[in-house]
Parts: sequence; C-alpha cells; structure tokens
Amino acid sequence: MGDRAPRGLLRSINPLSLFAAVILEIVPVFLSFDPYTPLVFLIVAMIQFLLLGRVPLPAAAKSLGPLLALPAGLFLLNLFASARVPGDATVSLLGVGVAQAALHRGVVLALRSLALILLSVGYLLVTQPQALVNALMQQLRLSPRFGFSIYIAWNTIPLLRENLKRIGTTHQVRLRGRPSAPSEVLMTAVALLAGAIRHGERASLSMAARGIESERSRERTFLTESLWRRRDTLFLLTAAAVSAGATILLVRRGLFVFGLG
Amino acid sequence: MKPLLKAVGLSFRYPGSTRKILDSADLTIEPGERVLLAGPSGAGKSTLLAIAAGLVPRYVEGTVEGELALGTDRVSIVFQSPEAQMVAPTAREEMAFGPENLGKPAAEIRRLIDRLADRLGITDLLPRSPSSLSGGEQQKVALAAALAMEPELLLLDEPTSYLDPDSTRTFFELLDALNPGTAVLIVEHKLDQILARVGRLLLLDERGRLSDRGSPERLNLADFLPWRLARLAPPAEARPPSAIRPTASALLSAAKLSHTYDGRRSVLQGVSLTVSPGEIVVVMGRSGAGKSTLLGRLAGLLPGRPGQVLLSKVDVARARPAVRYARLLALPQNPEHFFLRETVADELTLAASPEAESPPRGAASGLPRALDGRTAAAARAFRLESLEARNPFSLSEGEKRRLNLACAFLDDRPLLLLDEPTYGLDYDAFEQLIASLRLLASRGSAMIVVTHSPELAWLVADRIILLEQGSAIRAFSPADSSEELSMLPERYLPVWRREKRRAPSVQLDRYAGEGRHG
Repeated sequence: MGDRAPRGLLRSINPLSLFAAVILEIVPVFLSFDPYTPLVFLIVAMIQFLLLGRVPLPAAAKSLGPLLALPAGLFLLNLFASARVPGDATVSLLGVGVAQAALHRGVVLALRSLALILLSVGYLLVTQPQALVNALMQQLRLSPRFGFSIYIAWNTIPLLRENLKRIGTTHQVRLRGRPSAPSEVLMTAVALLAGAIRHGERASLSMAARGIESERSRERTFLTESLWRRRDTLFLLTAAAVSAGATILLVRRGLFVFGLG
Repeated sequence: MKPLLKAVGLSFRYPGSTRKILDSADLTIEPGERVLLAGPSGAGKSTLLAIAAGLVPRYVEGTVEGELALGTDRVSIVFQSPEAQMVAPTAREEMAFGPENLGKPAAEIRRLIDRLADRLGITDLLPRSPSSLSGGEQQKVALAAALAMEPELLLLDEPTSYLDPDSTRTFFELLDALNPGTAVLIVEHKLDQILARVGRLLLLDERGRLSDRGSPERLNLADFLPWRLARLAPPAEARPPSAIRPTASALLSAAKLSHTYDGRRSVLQGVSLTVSPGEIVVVMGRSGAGKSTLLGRLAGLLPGRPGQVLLSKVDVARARPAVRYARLLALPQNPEHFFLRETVADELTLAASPEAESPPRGAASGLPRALDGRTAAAARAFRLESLEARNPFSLSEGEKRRLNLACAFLDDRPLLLLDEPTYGLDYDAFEQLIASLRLLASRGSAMIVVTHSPELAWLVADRIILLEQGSAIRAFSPADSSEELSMLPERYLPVWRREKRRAPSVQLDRYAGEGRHG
C-alpha cells in the first residue's frame, strides 16, 4: 500500500468511502465486454487518482509499469494465439494480417484489465494502510486483535526479507558455494517460518499483556480517530452517480456489451 | 500496605509435562520494591512473570496451582525481544496501544505520551515506524508503552539481552528514573549493572524452587555471575596458553579496507588486519561502527573496493565461491540460519563430510544416523551427545549455538567468522560458548569474532580491535599492561576490570577470594 499520505481532495476522504467508490467503478468494467466502458473508467480512474489524489506520475508509473505486462500479454495472446474461424474478416495491423474478431477481443480484454489494474493500484497508492485498518476497526467493527495483527504482518515483511537474505548467504558459505539441494531449500523455508511463527507468538503475547482482550477493551478508544463525515457520504454518492450515469449512457448509446469473458 | 503481588504455594506445569516449572513458590512484592529474579536458563523465570502478568493459562497454556493474589490490575510487562513487541504502525501508536485498550480518552492518551516521551527522551521517535528503529530505540519504546499503562507493578523479562552496552546502560538509567512508587520485578543476566539497582534478589532453581535471598549486599556474590565468569579468567588474569601458530605468512591479511553504502555512506575506512592460524581476534565497537560490514568484506560477501583481502594467499573478492568458502566459514547471529538438516546427527554428519548425501525425508522420525568416531567425539566435546535425534530448531539457544560451533569444528575450515555469538545466551550458555571457542582455537582454527560483550572478548581474545566510525582506532591484548588498558573506555572492559579501575584493592580481592572458594 502507499507509503505516501494521500494528497489533494482524497486526503480528507475516509478510506472506506474511497474503497466503496472504487468497487462501484470496478463493477461495470467487470461486467462489460466492449472497449468503451473500460476506456470511460480509465478516464474516471485517472481523474480520481492523478487529479483528485495527486498521485505523482513517476510513482504511478513505477507501480503500474510491471503490471502493464498483463494487458499487453492478453492483447498479444488473443491476437496471435486464438483459434481462427473460417470466414473471419482480416485486418492489417502494422503490416501484419490479423483476424478482426481476435483484434477486437484483444483490445477489449487489454483495456478491461488495464482499467481494473489502474483502479485497484490507484486505490493502493492513495491509501495509507494505517488509515484503512483504523477505519475498518472503527467503522466496520473489525476486531482490534485482527486489525493490529495486520500491522504486525506488515511489519514482519521487511524482517522476513532480511532473514531470507541472511539465510541464503549463510547457506552459500556453508555449502562452499554449491547450489542448495531441494531439501536444503526447504530448510530455508523452515528457518523463515520458525522465525515468523516465533515473532507472531511474541507479538500476540505483547498485545495480550496490554489488554487487547480484557474486559475494559470493550470500551476501547483510538488515539487516531477515523471519522465518517458528510463529505465521505457525498464523495461516495458522487462516485455512484458517475459510475451509474456513465454506464447508463453507454447502454443507451448501445456501446455497453455485457460479458464476463 | 497491601502487597501488589502475593503468591502462596504457587506451582506451574506445562501441558503434558510432569515437571513442575514452579514448585510451591511463595512470593510477595510490595509497592515501590525493586526485585531481581535470577536463576539458570529454563528454570521458569519468564513463566513466573507471565503468571504475574495474567497471561497464564489463557495465552500461555499450563496448569497453575496454589494461590495468587494481585493487589492491582495495573501490571505491565516488557519482553526480551524488542522487535517482536511492536504491534502498531508508529512509535506513538505503540505507546497508545495499552491506554487505548484501557478505554482512556484520546486527549488524555496524547498528554500521557508526550509527557512520557519527553521524560524518556524519545520524542523524536514518535512518528517513526517501529521497524525503522534500532534495537535500543525499540526497547525504549517498549518500556514507554508499558509505562503508558501507568503500572503499579512493572515486569521486565531480560529487557537488555538483545541490546548493545550503550543501549543497555541507557535502559537501566531509564529504570532509575522511574516513579519510585512503581514496583519492578526484573529478570536480568547483566548482574553487574542490575544488582546495584535492586533491593531484593529472588533465586529460582532448576527444580522450580523459589528462594528469597534478601538484599544483594548481604549475598555471597561468588555464587552469581559475572563473578563466576571472573573465575574463568585465571588469577592475575593470566591468559590460557595461546594457540597461535606462528607461520611465515598470515592466514588472513586485509589491507586498507574501505566500504561505502549507496556510494555515499562510508562505514569502513582503511581498516587493515592480519590473523594467524589459531588466533582469536575480537572486533568491538558501538552499533554502526562498521563491525558487520568488516565481516562481510572479509568473507567476500560484500563486493567492494578499495582494499584487498588475502586468505591463504587467495584474493577473496576475486576467487570463485568454491575456492573462497573452502577457507572460511561464517556463523550467523541467529544460529537457526545455519541449519540444513532435520536432526542434530545429520547436521554433524554434513559438517564432517560435506559431500554426504542428504538423508531421505522422514528419516528423522526413526533412529538418528550413527555417528562415526570423529563426529561422535565432536558431539561429546560440544555437549550434544544426548541431542543427536533432536531437530536443530527444537534446541535451546545455547544448544543451537553449540551445534553451530560443533559443525564448524568438524568442517575444519581455517578461518571462522562469528557475528554476535552471545546474543540471547544466558550465563551458563555463555560459559559453554567460551569453552567451545577455546577448543576450536586449540585445534588451530583462527577466528574473527564480532561482539558487544567485553566479558567474551576478555576471556577468549588474543587481540581486540576497536572500531569507531569505520576506522580501527586501537588494537590491544588482554595481556597488555594495566597502564595501557587504563586508557580504554570503560565499556570495553569486563566487569571485574571495571571494578578494579574504580576501587582496585577492595573489589578485586573480593572477587579473587570468592572465586577461589566458589
């Protein structure tokens, strides 16, 4: 999730409101099988995250870059690897003859996956994990034990990464530079797992010792309050209206094609 | 005044075990008391603290018998491992976690955190993520988080065992500054620093029997470490016969090693070093002084220039891994990272014959692999003979460390690199570590040991190198004259040396006398 605090308008929006808005935007894209619907919601996502969320372009490019392989792969796969039906019209693409139906399917699937990626990655880029978990605990009554376990897991990731590196180095030296046998690779996983389990047990005890499940914790307070304000409702209603309006418009113009394929 | 904790005939057993970890223990803690709980590893000290903290049997399963009355519900505990206690995304939230669970209003929590952070000198840490803090900073935050619950009874379970000497000293100074009304029950192995801070000592033995030994001033200190450690250093601190084997050329020769991270941050600056076969060189220095980087460069694990490392005349940086690692073995800070097999016997066999086939999976459930003469002798020498069928991950910290060293002994590479081998060890395991290192040196293994423990350095080193800000500022030997040693900062001296510097005649005589009779 984004390490940067959200900026612009989204700074003051509750992460759950934004989450619900993104879901409302994802649904029509997910249910459509035409190039126009994903294109419209690509524009919505860009306005939402680049303009309203002020995600810096380099940060967006860095996160999205590796994921662009998926739409590109889907496009090429459909273009060149799908079965040809006799009688299919052929069109020229950069001097190469391709089936028109395959080109259409490739474009649709590529745009659809691109829109879904942009909407979900955009959300992750503008959402602070802390704010989301806080909102889940305070608005949706997620158990604090579970909520703080998410933080613990989050804090464990760099620890695991560091341990993996150390174990690899130690084994390399011990085995005099020879590659590890499969059973030895398994021991790397065992060592990592043993460390993670011990870490989890200790953190769990630490939470218990500070009364996470005590009687008094039923009236637990939060230092950082997560509030659902009128603007969160307004933002969600606006997102719902945009999503529904765009979909209705596309349907009425005959551009929306239902399909899950 | 009503005691904060009163236990009568308290016993505890883990599920499925007949052994009583605590056996009919009687214990009373009065408000404002400072009490040290000492005893060998595995005696049940942490269990006793967990019972007092209300974690048994709900979170630590087992059977409790006897009476336990808590005169307060304001009990906080700080555990051994600093990083594993952190549950919140920032240090501020970490401190708020307990008071939030107590239902305190946010404004009150905010005031409490600011006041505590100011008192403990950690205000600048508040917005930071716990994972970005050093071990010492994390433990300060953990203490602050415990104090934020405004405890009447504070339980501390070996809170400094993962801290370097500077962080340890700071932690104990923070304890000195605690509200005098707060009672403290602490488990701690660094007796030289804690004894002066407690009014009473409780001793828990291996059979789970708890005895109140009264004020530390009235104790026969020869029974306790590190005074026991001082006995390992022979009278007048004469060193055991050196195992150094003079050769025409050094086993390892490092010249003008420098290292920078990210092309900017310089952590090593022109360090030169030679090591002879059988020699133990200890590298000490503050956290961040460049000790681990030095080990990485010596092992060829950190590519970098300038500087050159020749090991048995082979350029370590340029040699193929197979050539380089035929000559050196690195033992990690966490001994579990070393393991490659499912039983102790198989670990030893692999070390003795690196080409040996890995045993089929599941073989561990049957009888352990029969050890040949040399391997069996190593198992005896490192006190592992009764553990051959055990999974290495199930061993105690001390046993894991001994298994690492036994493997190094069998593997028989000329140079061993050890990174903080004392972390997580109690004094019994510490004594055994010293014996193991001496055994390896007597066989001719050269060692470079990075440690924060002056006691370890003093008891095993032929030469001690001090690193500061990436430069080797001084090299000395424990056999140097007192005059030379008196120039050293106190943190590099073992407890008996430090005491000698403060009050030579009385203190040292006392240790020496008790040591001979102990």
